[in-house]
Amino acid sequence: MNPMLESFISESRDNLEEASQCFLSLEQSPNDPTVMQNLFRAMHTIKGSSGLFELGAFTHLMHVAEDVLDLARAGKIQLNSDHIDVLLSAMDQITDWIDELEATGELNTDADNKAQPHILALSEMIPVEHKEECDELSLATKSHQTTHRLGYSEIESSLGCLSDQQRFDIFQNADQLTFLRYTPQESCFFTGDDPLHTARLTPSCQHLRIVPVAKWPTIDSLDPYQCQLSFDVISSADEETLIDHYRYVEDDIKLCPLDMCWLAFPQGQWSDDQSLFSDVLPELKTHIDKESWHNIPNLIAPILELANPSVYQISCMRWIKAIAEKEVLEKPLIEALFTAIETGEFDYSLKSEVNSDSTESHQTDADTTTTDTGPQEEYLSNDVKTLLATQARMLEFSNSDDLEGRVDSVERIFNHALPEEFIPNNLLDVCQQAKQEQSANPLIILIRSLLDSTSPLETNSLESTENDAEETLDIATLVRQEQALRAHESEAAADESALDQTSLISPAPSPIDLQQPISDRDSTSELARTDLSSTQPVAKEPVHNQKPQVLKVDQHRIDILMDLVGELVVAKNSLPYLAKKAEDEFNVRALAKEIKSQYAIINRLAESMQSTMMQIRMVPVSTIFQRFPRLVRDLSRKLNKDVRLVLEGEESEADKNVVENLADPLIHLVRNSLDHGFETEEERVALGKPAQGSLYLRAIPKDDQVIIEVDDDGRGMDPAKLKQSAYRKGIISEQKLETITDQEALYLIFAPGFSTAEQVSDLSGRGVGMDVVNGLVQQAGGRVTIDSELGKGTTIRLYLPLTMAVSRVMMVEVQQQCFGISMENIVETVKVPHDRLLRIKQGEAIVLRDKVIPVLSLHSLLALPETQFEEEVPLLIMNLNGEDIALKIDLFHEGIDIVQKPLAGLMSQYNYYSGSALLGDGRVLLILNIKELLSCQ
Amino acid sequence: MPITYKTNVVVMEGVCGIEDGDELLQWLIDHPKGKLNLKQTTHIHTALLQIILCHSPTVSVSPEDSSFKRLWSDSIEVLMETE
Repeated sequence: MNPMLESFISESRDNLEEASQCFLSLEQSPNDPTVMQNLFRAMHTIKGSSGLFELGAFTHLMHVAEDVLDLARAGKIQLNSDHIDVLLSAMDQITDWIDELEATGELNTDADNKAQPHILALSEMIPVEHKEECDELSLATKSHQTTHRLGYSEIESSLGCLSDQQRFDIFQNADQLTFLRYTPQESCFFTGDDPLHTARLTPSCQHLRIVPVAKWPTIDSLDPYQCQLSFDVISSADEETLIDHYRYVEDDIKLCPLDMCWLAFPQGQWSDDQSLFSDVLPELKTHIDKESWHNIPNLIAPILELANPSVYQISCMRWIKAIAEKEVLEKPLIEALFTAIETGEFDYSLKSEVNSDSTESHQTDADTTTTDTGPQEEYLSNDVKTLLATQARMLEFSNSDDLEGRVDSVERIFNHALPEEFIPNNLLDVCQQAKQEQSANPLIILIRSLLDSTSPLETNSLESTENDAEETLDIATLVRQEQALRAHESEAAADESALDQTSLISPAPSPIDLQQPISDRDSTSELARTDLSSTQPVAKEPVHNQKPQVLKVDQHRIDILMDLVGELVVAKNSLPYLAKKAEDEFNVRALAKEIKSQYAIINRLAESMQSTMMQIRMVPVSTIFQRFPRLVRDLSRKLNKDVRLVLEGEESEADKNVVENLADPLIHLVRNSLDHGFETEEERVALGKPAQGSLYLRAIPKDDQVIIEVDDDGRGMDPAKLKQSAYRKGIISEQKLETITDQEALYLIFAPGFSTAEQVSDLSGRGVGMDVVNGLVQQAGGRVTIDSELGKGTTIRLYLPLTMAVSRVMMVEVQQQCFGISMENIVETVKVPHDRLLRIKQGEAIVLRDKVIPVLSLHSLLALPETQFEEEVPLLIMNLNGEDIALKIDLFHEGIDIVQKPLAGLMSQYNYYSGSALLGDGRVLLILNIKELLSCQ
Repeated sequence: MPITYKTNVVVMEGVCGIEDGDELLQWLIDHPKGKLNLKQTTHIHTALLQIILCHSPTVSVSPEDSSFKRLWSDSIEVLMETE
């Protein structure tokens, strides 16, 4: 498999795990920003990485889910349990796909169909009032785009930097234009990006403007490897082409269609000599009034050829001609240009800006709207602020040539658009001063002082309802989240909404903003400044350079290493044999001694290596405990039982295989407990128990074992009922029914084909659960115990070995053959005189410490000839399923640590061997499974 | 070798990549009056551009490559003048 896909799969599994935990925590505390942020990050990472592969449906579904979360994060949806259900089931689908990807490397062809119901369910969650924006989202989703939009106010300063000629050239060269702002990540160089190169290669690039994001430091403190530039591109290509070109940095671009009219504003030096064109003005006016556009170019062309293009009026004319030729028939624009020829004041851009900028689209026609009173005045102040800020900006960009006209137009704006009480008394003087000094500074200072004196907060309290104030808070939270999120990746989704709302809430940019070129970063940080300072103290940015020092290694490699270590252990065991040989056969004692001392060293190293390997394979049981909150939640909702799950000791560690083998039995147990164990809420209340049931999952490390407890306070098991049921099903005989103890009866649930549930539900009660659990636990080398008290609850304990990798066996000899027997079940070894064996019918027994223990012969179990014992009989006392037995063998050998290998091929069918191991001298040791051997009898 | 350092002039030729960043930065720190010869330059990496924009050295020879020349005059020179 593609290694990239491989790491995607393993990463996504982790992220899904995290996401589903976050969903559960969200259910408890729906407004926890940290959880939301983690969730968002996990989801976004999955979605983002899935984009690397051809996984349309996958990415689409993730995207829609992310949209929903985005709305939730912005407080537009309140997530409830039903929502969480939908989201979780979408995540389940994603998990299924991950499994599919792992198995086949691709998605099934029906993936789209599978995604559809989830997408529908998710979109139903979106409230009607947000449908519109989400339709947009899902439209964008279809082509997997999340590109962000720009407003006119954001690109205006960029346009202001273009010379008249440049704008004119662009206007003439193209029929449609797109404005794109590319703000690369600061760290983009480290991922091999060259933003300048990308920007230069923009398709049909008409103009490229490079904007430093901040003021340059001195050269010796410059870090050239942090990208400090942003790029404003005007292109005549359509948006799709541009998005395609920038597809690898899609999150870093923002764009908008550039209205050709935005380019058309005159620039140049006002000329008092009007003789050159005054003749044509009346005729031009007639043409404009009559809308006979085709006559205009011919009328103006001769004048343009003669006149100096840097004259303001000529610039106006040139634009009129160009617009008339292009048939961009914006009559108000041409009229505005015409007015500009006569008065030197061009007003159009302001109108269009206010219109396009304010989503409430309030018509502020500076020419016609005088200071109306009443409700409209309140309405205006938002726009007016924007207007003033724009004026200040425009004053900065206008050069001394057209300053006078600009100052005049600002004066008019003041007089017409501002409520009377806001018009400064010294306005006239300042305007005069500006004209005299040929500098816009006095006027700019005036505007700023005006903007400063009415801070955004005041504006809010002045004109907004409580709702708006709430929104401000939300945005403050949003911005904080945003900053934190940025630490990990560029997540611009909220940027857009934040920016959009900036224009609504704090339309007055701070003075700092006025001095700097606008860029994405500035706006965000400005937003943070304004909002945070006015609401809450600034949240500290999280420390984001702490990378967990974790190495993800394929388990297969660890297994190989483990095998090698195992073999090393075995190989080093041959050294003592060699030493013995050197001494015995070759009589070189010194050498034998040398070998032994070397052996001690190798032994020490090998053992510490082995234990380190064990450590590596140890994982906390939390890895499987994690999935239970979800399971319990789903089941308890389904069964309508209120159950609280408490996890304890999930940090205890065990071998990865053991932990993984544990998962299935535990799921069975938890399901059983929820389905059969717990009473319904009403029953519980009637019994005087707390309405909410408690289910404890505990992991308790004990010696070389780990005990997993599933402990519920449900109705407990009724031994009498169990006995009856087992008897009816023919699991126990009538005789057994009489003699079986209550404790023993509990273990009947492990019998194959046993089920007490009257009604078989889809959760459990199929009678396969418990015997499978028992089987799986035994396979993992563990055992299960049950404690149950009727009416009080049930505790099921799984005893599992910490590790299965190395097991300790005792070597025994039967008829000159060596066998291994697992140490777990061995109680003791005894040698008893031959005559102490008692014969009872066909069997033999021995009385050991006043206890009768049946004696079995390993010889006969293995179908080997019996040995005739002369004096003492070696007996191996074992405890199997709570009963002691004694095994007759020929000879005891030492106990050894072995790396047990399962039998392969034909041998694997003989399950009375649990495996084999290699001995130090090269022999193969067969490990006996005594339980199986006995049941074969 | 896309960048050659002479006594007081850096000659940049062809495509100059980010790997020359450290050296260029150091050279400009050591030669605050150093000049740029961009005659043969066709592209400079964004990182190098940042160094140049930050320091705004004098350009002794303007670029000849038409595309880079346009970029330089339209987009870059403007910024260096305002410095």
